[in-house]
Amino acid sequence: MTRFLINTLARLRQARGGTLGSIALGVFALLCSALATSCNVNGVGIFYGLENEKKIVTTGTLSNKLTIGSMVHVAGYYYAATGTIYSSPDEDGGGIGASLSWTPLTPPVSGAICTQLVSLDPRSSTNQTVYAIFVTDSAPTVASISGTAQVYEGTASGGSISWTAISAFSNMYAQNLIVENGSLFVDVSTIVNTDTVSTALQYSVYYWNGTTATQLSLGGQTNFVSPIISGAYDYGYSGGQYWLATGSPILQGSTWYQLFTSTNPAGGSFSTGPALPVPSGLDGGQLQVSRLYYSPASSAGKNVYGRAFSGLGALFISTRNGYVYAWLDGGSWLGPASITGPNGQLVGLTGVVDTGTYLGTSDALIVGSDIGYYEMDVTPPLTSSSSFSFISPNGTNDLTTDLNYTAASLYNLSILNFLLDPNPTNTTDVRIFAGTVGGAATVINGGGGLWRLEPQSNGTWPGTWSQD
Amino acid sequence: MSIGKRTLLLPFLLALVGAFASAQTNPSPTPHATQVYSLGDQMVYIDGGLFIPLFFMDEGGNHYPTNLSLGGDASIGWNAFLSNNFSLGAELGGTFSFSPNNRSLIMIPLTGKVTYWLRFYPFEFPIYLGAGINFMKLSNYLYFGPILKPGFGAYYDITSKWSAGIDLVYWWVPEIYFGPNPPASQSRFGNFLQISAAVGFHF
Repeated sequence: MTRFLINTLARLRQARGGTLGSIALGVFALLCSALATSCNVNGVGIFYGLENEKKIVTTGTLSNKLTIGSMVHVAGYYYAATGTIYSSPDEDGGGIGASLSWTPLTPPVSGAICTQLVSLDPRSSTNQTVYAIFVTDSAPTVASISGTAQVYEGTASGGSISWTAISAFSNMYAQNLIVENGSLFVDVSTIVNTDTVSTALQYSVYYWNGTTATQLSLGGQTNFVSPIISGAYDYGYSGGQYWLATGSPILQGSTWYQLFTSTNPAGGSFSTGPALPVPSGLDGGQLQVSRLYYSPASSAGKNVYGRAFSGLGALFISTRNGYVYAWLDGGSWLGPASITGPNGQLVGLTGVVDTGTYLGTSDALIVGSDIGYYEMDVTPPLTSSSSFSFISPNGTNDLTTDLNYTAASLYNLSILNFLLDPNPTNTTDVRIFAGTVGGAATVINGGGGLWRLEPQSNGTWPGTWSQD
Repeated sequence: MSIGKRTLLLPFLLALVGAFASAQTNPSPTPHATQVYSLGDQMVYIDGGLFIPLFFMDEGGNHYPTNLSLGGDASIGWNAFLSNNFSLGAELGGTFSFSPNNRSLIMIPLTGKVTYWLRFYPFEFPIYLGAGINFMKLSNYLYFGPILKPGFGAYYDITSKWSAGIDLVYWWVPEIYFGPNPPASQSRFGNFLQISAAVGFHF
């Protein structure tokens, strides 16, 4: 083939010479280059994506402009916090594509905005206790901090929530709520004077046992420069451990720590946990945790919303600069896996969810990011020899999550959180909700708001995304 | 022969001689010259029309629907004649069509073109093969790859400079991957049909 091309080029040049010969030569070279080169900077084949594209349908009544900050599933209802809390019957028995009807709920204080909503026991299908932060002021000031970001305890029933303020936090500006294993942790911020003229926010974390708020020390420290960003209860490690992560690493000696563990939060202290392995070229101080998520293995026998769950048996830690770590139940690290965006940049990671074996014999761990989500498919449980890498959904795996991910604006949205509804009422209709950042600009591209992933109409996976 | 008959015959003879003489000095008009091209003649053209997505095929020969709408296409091109029946040229085109979620698939091929011209004056029937590179875009997804465009047309020579007609072109668009991302299993061959009207200028 090469000899043919060379000889043909020589004949063209010799036979025609002049302008026409040069032009013909150029055309021939163009053809040859076309045969030799092709490239795609994407994760999904264009034609493949088109042949599998399904029209995005709207299955609910929420605006696509909304930012879904958090979402819970309590006693037959979904509750989504978008500033206003909306509720809808879950329609778990309504079949694939069942339409959700969302109703706004009245806040406990007129004009208050809900910044976070959590369920006391997200694994329970009957638990009705929820917690929320309602803000009545945009930011704390030195002069007025009381009542501006109040923690409320609520009882969710029939699509509505009755609220009671937790007085122990009345004089604190609540920043973040973490619920793990039936325990509530509240991260609060206070104003401190850094010098005679400057002030700064300082963060601390409390354990709430239902009657008393106990301030916690993490690694011997009680005040932090960044919020306590996330937590988890690791059932499988050392008999069960609570984990908390600071938003910014803490330097102790020569080691940076982001993770802290305890078996008894009521005792008031967390010890330093294992330090994150530092990727080559980075410093430990550059690893800022964004989310903790524990996926119990089947031996732990933990349910999700009343349905048996068989997961990976590891605590997953995501960072803001695109790394995902796994702390295995046996007490060792796996990873990190780095996640790069479509332009090769590291992406900030957000929510995490494990689909367990609901979608098939394999398991899909899904990690949200500033730009869409990424997926790791592995046969559970996770071991030290497991493949630990993430890909952008491309529909080739037997349970990979998408048929129209690339068609939906979801692939380009900032995803804040996921909610898995394994649907014990109709076990075929497993649902995964993605809460995204909304706004007018996103509507141009199909919208933000709440997205729902369900199986195809015949009950098989990969599934299709729709907008609620 | 009487004077009367000679008188009648003479004009006739004179007319006949006159006609003969005139025929010798004023030959009958030659037929209109057939369009002939030779080395150095060139042609530029534009065309536009319908773009019809047909199907996708994988490496195993399985067919898949495109899910694309009817679209449009336009192109400009140039031919340089090497002889009356053979030309080389180049063409730059563009197409668009839409997915179920109104995403637009845009393809911009740049091809070299070899054409054989069948002539039945005043009609011309080019039969050609274009090959080159194709730039493809769908949302934020891009692909550069090869393309083949065989086709034929039917043109009418309006004048010695201008011609107009229609073209029927088949687009064969390989989209080949070697993995891991996108995986090789997502390789496809796109098949499309272009039906367009064209206007050409010869010089």
